[in-house]
Amino acid sequence: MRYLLLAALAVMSSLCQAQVTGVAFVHGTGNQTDAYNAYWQPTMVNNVRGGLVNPANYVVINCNFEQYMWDSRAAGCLAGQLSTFISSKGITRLIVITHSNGGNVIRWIMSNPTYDSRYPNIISKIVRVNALAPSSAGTPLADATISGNVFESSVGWLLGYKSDAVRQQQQSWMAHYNTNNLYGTSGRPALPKTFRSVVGTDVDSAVWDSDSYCGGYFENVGLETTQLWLNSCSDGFLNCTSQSAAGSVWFYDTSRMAGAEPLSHNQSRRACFGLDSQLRTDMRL
Amino acid sequence: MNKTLLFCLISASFSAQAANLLPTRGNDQSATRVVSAALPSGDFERKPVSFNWQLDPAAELAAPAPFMAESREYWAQVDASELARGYDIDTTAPGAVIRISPARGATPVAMDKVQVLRNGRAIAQPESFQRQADAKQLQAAGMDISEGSAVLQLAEGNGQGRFQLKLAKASGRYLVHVFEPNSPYTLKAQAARSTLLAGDTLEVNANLGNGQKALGGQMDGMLVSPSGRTVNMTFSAGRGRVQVPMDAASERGLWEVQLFAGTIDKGASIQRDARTAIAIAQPTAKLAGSYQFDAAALRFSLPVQVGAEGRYELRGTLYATAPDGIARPVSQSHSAAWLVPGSRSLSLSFDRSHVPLGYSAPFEMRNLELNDQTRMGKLETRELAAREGKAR
Repeated sequence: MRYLLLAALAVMSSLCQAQVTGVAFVHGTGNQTDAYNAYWQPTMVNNVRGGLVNPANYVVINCNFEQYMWDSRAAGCLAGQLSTFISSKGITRLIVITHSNGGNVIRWIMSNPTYDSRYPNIISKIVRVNALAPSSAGTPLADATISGNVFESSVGWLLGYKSDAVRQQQQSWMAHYNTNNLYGTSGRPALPKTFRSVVGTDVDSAVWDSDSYCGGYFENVGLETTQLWLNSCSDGFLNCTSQSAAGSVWFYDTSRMAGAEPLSHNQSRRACFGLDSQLRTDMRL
Repeated sequence: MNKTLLFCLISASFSAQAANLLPTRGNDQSATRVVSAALPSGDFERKPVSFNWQLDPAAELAAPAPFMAESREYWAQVDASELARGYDIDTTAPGAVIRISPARGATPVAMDKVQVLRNGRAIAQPESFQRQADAKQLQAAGMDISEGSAVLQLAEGNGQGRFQLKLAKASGRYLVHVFEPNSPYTLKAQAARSTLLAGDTLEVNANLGNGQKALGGQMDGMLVSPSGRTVNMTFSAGRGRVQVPMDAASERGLWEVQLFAGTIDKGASIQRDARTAIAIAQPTAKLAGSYQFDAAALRFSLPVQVGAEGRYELRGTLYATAPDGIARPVSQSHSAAWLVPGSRSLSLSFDRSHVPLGYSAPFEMRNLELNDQTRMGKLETRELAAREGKAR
């Protein structure tokens, strides 16, 4: 019996040792070439990856998320960088951290496993997606940007062409994609792996309030104006209903941030009010 | 009794045989023809790929209704001369938000040069606008607004009604967008379906109202392709109709229904514009109508008639019968392969380990879809495609 127990422990031990956890940071809308510095900033990335058993097991994705989510420059690029990361580091447990539209791109991969032969291996390695302020149901700001922009045969689009990512994040467009191409929203099949969101509920931009400066004061001033298009619960870019439309809610900002501070849409990708600590702790779970 | 043994017994009770898919019903989409089409440019996966995963039987599935657009806004193209004189805007609630965007080649909007007038008299700041932001501030916040645009909110103290918007140093054309977040007047619009095939008829319900009260008035609308092609709609009793052109090409992105409504209510001029998205596909393939079910492998094989070379996908949900006799979702399966024109087939396999203990036949395949992955087209759907096996 003792030998049986020892053998079982040895097997368990080898299984545990075989697990290699890694984290991937997936940015939002934009064509990134240096998301580590420009999008997330080093403090955020380094504090979070510091929670890994091996902090070197991380990747910061740089793709063109100005494109539709399924585009080879968007989901295709993401699949390529994740596949390389998984194989080069021997990752067996992948935690994906997304921000904003990055949540839609990873949800495309998880919802459409047959679209690309690289997707199934990525999905099988994912243990969960921590989606920071995902634009799962789009945003009225995308609608406002596009509305009235008619095509004229002589001059093209009246206001110039708006990126496919902006078109995609209009509310009726995301409703269509959620109904027809993506999983995890109400009434639809669940995603194959956990997708949980962190929801930003408000914006502070008072000039006398130091909290307004985390993530950039100038950006937060703009978010106060964009809130005119949004509900009373929003992060300045997305309604809370959009951020919580897919998967499950991990937590609302004020429930876990220092001083019960809200996370504006710019702050939910930065080391503001302890968000980095929450994510760091999650690396060990 | 373990699950494997149980399945062996179930499998023995019926062998693989051909059957017809259950008749289409309700919101099912079916193709009656197939067409050839050129391959779009781009890199497409050529390897066959299958994937399935377990579903929680307690999580009920229900097809969401098509999106209901709800508009409290309108927009208009305005010449610089009109803005220089003072362009009339009608508001129905305090605190209207106004966006002014220069069209190509127009002079950028200088926020401090925008004036608002009431009965021809200028309202001075800070009484005129309670909030202002320029394109740089809004772009920094993630709103991809055009260069040279400005957003201003009328101060609530000014109330509602007719104002004049004046921009002295304007040249070219501008888009003026008026959004009234506090207005009770809304235009609601909902397409009957969110996916159609070329040649289908689209119906849209549209209603301009004040709260729950429906208003009459004028309604216009059109169907707009991703590249800007337009087809006018006809309206009758709040319902718009349009036939999707047979040659509607598969384009990247979605088509839009754009609606424009206007009326006079209690002496106030009401304008509302709304948009909602739909997908249109060419019938590049169709289900042949039959299938074969291999109970031992929990696999459905479906013949597919292919008109255009491309990558096609089948997806569906397996329902199994719970001990209480109710069919519940237990597994989701997808399968895709590159197919050339002709009579082909695709198979959907479900993992038997996904069927919870105590669940058994009858099995149902629901939410079956045939998709064209190369052209992002939804070709066929069946809410209930097949039922297999008898109750124990």
